[in-house]
Amino acid sequence: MRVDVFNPPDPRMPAGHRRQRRAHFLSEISAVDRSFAGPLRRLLWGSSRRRVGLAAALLVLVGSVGTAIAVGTDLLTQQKRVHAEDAKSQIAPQPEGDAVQIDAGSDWSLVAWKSDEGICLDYAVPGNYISACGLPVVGSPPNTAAPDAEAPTHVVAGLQTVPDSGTLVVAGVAASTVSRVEVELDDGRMLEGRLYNAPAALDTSLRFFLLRATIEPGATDALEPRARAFQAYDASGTLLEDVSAGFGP
Amino acid sequence: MSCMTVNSSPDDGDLWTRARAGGRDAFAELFDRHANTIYSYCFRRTAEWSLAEDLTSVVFLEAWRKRHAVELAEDKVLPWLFGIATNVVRSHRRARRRYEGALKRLPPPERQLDVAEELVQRIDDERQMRDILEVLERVLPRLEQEAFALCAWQGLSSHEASLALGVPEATVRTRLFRARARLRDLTQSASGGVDGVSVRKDAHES
Repeated sequence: MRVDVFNPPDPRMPAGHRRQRRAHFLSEISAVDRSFAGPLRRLLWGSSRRRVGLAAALLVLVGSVGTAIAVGTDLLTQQKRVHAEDAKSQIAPQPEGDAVQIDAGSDWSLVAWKSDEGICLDYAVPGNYISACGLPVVGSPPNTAAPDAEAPTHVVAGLQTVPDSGTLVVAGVAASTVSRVEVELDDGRMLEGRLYNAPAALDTSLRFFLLRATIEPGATDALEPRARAFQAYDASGTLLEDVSAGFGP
Repeated sequence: MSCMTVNSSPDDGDLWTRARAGGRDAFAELFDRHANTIYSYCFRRTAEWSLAEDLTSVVFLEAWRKRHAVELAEDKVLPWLFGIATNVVRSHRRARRRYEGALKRLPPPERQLDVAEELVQRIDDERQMRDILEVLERVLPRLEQEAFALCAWQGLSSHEASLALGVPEATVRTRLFRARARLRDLTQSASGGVDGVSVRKDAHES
């Protein structure tokens, strides 16, 4: 059989498919603009572009970094390798500066970093992670990938995930005026997240919060949101923001 | 002359300026102009028509997302789209995963006439393309494949390919020269090769 490498097939997309793709494209870019206008969903979930699920087995490390990253590798190093891989692609936020660890346990790490889309947050476990960029909080670094986007007006934003069947993780970014973040779960509990000042290396006044809560194993699908609302308070106990609806994947 | 202005189509640079300012119609026009070209490139790099369609969608969604961060070189949109497409093809699993939600919202395709005939043609195209890619994978490093695909298949000049790939024009020329030389060597060493253009696939399978 002859293979003519210089004259490959040159198919056109069928007209019906092209019309469908065009309509879909226009619909999607309208949705993108709506998401900027409607902050509630973004407020909880951050940039939809970087929203991924641990339970969805996003094995980026296996796929693009290879098997060099073994369990036991420092999770900050793991995430830096992920970011380095992302930096090679146009389809991922471009890191600006080093990632830093906000907090860590024996098998997890909360990592923050700056990108061309603003502040980013990773919750990492060995071989996997969830990440959000462009968290729209007052005081965030500018999103140079969308310089005409409206300046954020919110004081709290974050992500949530269920890394294993018995744990809910809610993590996020808060403005410097925030002194307490409470998270309402779908089982009615109201839990306080731990608040952290940004490490000096990040050069920001933003704060970070993390809540790791025990939940009933297997009660819901891992990707189903379990946090129903955020409340952010200042040092005097005044409620600064209450995000109680409109979120979810 | 105003009538000439009225009748002339805006060039890509004009459309791009309007698209960056939020003009969806302008971006739709760019889609109309270049979707087939990008689809052809994606197909030739993957040998899967359905994947190529998804990747074409991803390329334009990605272009929309990146529109504020990009200053077009010489007002040329197509090299930039090829650049995105090259990256998307390189990491198409990740790219599709990133836009998984958007792709899931895609409605079912419109009903087509002559479906059977079209399907046969598509299957034949895929088979041919798989064979070609198999040869390329065997003979050319990835970077040379990309330069070859952009210049030899898509007809980009080495300058345009350099804009797409983000490398100096001389680098593109070098990669292209090497790619052609490797393919020529392959042809000459293969029994039944035809004047430096075709290669016999079965001659390299033993």
